[in-house]
Amino acid sequence: MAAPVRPRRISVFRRSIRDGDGTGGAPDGPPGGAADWDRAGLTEGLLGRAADSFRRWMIAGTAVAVVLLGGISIALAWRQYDAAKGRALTDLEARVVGVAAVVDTSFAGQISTLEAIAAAPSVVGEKTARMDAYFARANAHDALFSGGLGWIDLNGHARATSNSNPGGASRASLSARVYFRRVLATGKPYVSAGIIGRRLKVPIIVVAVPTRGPKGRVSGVLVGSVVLKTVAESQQALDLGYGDLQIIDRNGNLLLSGLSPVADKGLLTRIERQGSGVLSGTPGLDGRGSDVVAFATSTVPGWVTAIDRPRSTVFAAAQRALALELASVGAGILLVFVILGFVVRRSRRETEAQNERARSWGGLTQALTSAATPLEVADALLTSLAAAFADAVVIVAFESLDILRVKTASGAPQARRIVESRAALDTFAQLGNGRPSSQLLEHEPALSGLHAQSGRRFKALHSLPILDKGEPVGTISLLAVAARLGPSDWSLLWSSANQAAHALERARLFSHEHELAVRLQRSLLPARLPSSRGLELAGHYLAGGDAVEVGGDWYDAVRRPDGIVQLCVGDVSGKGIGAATVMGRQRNTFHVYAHDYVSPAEIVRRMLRHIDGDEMITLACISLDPYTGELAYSCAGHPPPLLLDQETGELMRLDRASSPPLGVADPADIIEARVQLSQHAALAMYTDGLIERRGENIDHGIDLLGQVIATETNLAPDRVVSRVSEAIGAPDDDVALMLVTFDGERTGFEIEVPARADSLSGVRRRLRAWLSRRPLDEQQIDDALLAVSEACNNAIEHAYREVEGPINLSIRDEADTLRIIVEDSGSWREERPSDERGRGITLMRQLTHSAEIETSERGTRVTLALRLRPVQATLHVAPTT
Amino acid sequence: MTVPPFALRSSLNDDALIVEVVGEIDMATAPELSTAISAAAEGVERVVVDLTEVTFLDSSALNALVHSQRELADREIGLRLVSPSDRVVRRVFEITQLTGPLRVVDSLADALA
Repeated sequence: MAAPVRPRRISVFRRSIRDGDGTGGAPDGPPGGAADWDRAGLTEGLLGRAADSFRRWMIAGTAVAVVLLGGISIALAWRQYDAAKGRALTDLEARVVGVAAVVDTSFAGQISTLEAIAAAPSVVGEKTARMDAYFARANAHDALFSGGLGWIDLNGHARATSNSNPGGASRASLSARVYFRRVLATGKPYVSAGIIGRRLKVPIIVVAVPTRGPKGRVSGVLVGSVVLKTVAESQQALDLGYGDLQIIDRNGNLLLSGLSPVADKGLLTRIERQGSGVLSGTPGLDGRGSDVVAFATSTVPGWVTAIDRPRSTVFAAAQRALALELASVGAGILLVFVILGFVVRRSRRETEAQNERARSWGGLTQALTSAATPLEVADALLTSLAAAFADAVVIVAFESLDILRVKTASGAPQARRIVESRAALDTFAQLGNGRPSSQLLEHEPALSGLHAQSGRRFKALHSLPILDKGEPVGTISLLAVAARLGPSDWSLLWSSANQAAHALERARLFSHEHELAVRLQRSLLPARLPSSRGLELAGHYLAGGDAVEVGGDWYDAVRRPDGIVQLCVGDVSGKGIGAATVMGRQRNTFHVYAHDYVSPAEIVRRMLRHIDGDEMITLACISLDPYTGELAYSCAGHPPPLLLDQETGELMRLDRASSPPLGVADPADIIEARVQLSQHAALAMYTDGLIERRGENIDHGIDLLGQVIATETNLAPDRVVSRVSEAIGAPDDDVALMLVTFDGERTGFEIEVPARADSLSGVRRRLRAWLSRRPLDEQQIDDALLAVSEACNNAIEHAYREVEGPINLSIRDEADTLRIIVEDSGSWREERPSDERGRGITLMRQLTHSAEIETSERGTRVTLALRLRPVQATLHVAPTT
Repeated sequence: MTVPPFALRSSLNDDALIVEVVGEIDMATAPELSTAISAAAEGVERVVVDLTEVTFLDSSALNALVHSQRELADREIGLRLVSPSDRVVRRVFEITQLTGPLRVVDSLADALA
């Protein structure tokens, strides 16, 4: 518990300023105080929570929006896809319908041609020979009918053909042929399904028309046959994109694939039923995969033309388009989320930075509430800003005691060293023109040196004034790595400067109040104590405790004209102006009674009469005669003064004259006791604040005080208080200490007594005591006392006529002579009969070395010189010679 | 102020009044001595003032004693003073040469003889 004792602050008005009431000095709207710290903490919490909730809302909202838009986009893309697919199908259907129409047209043409040929006279006339030639000519080079022309009679015999080499097969009957029967049955043209040709043995189709005789009766069937080629063999078809064209005849055979039947009968059924259309998702004509089949019926031949393509081929373009759409939607969503992620991360980082600032601001607020001097304000500012700007050097310039001081702080100590050079500090003290500024170090001649010194680490100096009612009272500067500060950094600096300005104002007011209170306290305690040679008095007061106000502890000393010193130490209960008033009153009382009474008990009893109502005072009162070394004391409820015999080292508590405190005690309780001082002694009178500590035995403190007094060479009361505090801790309460150092050999003799006969005995007694400490033998002492008595007799009898006056007796210690001076300030009365007076003078002259009497209108002075015969002389060993 | 230690004891021996003085005779107490002597010396031939236990005696005492002596002489009463020669008080008489006139003797016996 070795806390150094530093003077506590004394303020009468501090509490009123804190509470905002009281006279004028409170600054308006101070941000300091507990409320602000809470506000900062609250802000931090709220900020954090608000930011979190905002972020969550933002994420949720964006997700919903993205999902919604994505869904819509996907739906639209899908619709487009469907439309594209539809268009592809339609396109396919259109093609197939076109082909069917072409087929129809082609066959219609062929039928017309056949009918024209059937109308030829040779055919009508059934002239078969001529028919051959005609047929050959008509179908020259198998132009129309690649399989040839022919006429079949009603019996089913082929009677004419365009083929040059008919072969034996032409004799067979064709009556079973479907086309033959159908034509004869309907009398209408007929296109056959695919059949294998008799002659060529390859798939053919036959176009048949009825022939009529001259009378119009059906005479036979004229047929033309067409050889079927696969589409693959037709380069034309491939070029036109009909590579996958198929023709299905009435029998369900694929005409362009060598009359192979359609694999999927179900499909065939549907096709034939529907006639024309497009089917998607069927296994197709070959029964495999997933195809799109577009078909259309050519009514003339009764064929179905179909285009059979795999779905993937048909929808390829649509699928590509969809994939692209989906990909771009997906990319869009991803982009949105990536951006969101960035934004959220940044916002979180912003929130954290804000939290950090709020914390730093809160810390600053708290530090500033307890800052009582400009230096403390600067320190609080530096600590807070150095934490907030970790890689910068913070510089604060402020006024303290009319001097501009500069302090720096930095998280990087090496940086700080650079900045703390004399030159740098001078520069900083000058910069700051009352406006915020950012200066690049390189461009400022005064600062470029710093820039280089720091290894070009710091780039700019940002400054900001601390304004108190518009007047600059200081500057905050930041030697920063960044060339520019962001808006939130500036706002932190501004708010810190604002707080600092308020705190500086408070500190100024506080120190003002402190000054007042200190002066008030000093005025209530004695400015000087009546020390004299051989009797040194020194006092010390220390205000303490939590309720820092003017206290009720006091000490005082009165040196009476007769040389007796009255000492008092008191403790008025309570604090504040009330206690101070009581203390002042009691001091005055003591002063008055100290003159009137020698006995400390008497003084205390008189002071007891001046206690009002509820007041309670503890007192220790001591009466000390420095010439006789007699000490009398009386304690009323007060800790015992300590007396140290510096010759023997004995320490004594003056505790044999204790009574209850004033306010409790009766006059009869007040007692006193006496002690004889040795030639060298020290006396300590104190209040309980010095030695009493919470939880500790008071005797411990008193013993400790005794030790300090016994061992301390420099008996100054402030030093004693420090040493005691070092040992048992800082005081909880006010402390008053008065120290008396007595050196009997050094005290002079100087008294003033009333010029009355009854003064003489006391004077003689005290003078005897004092003289016996001088190198004088008994007879010299007796002689001196008698001479002095005679001198006093004169003064008593002759000096004062009506009003009683004083006799002043002083002794000057010269080398080998004691000069005793007895003075009065009256004028001699009439003289007595000369013989009577003569005896006195005779005695004076005879008993001293010289006796001079000087009379003036100011009084009479008798100077007696006493030769000091050193006592040692009588002990001299006679020389042996 | 403090009262000086001073006391008077008187006794009769034949026709002599013996007044023993104890303590200090100074300006404060000398008048009392005079008065006491004067009052007590009724119907005696001699007054012996024993100053053996006097610790202090100054000119006011001397004056008082001289005065008393005269006054007693008018009443034809003699006055003797006892002050042993080894005491400090005796010196006072010696210096002021009042040893003879005031009939200062060394002992009470001498004074009564």
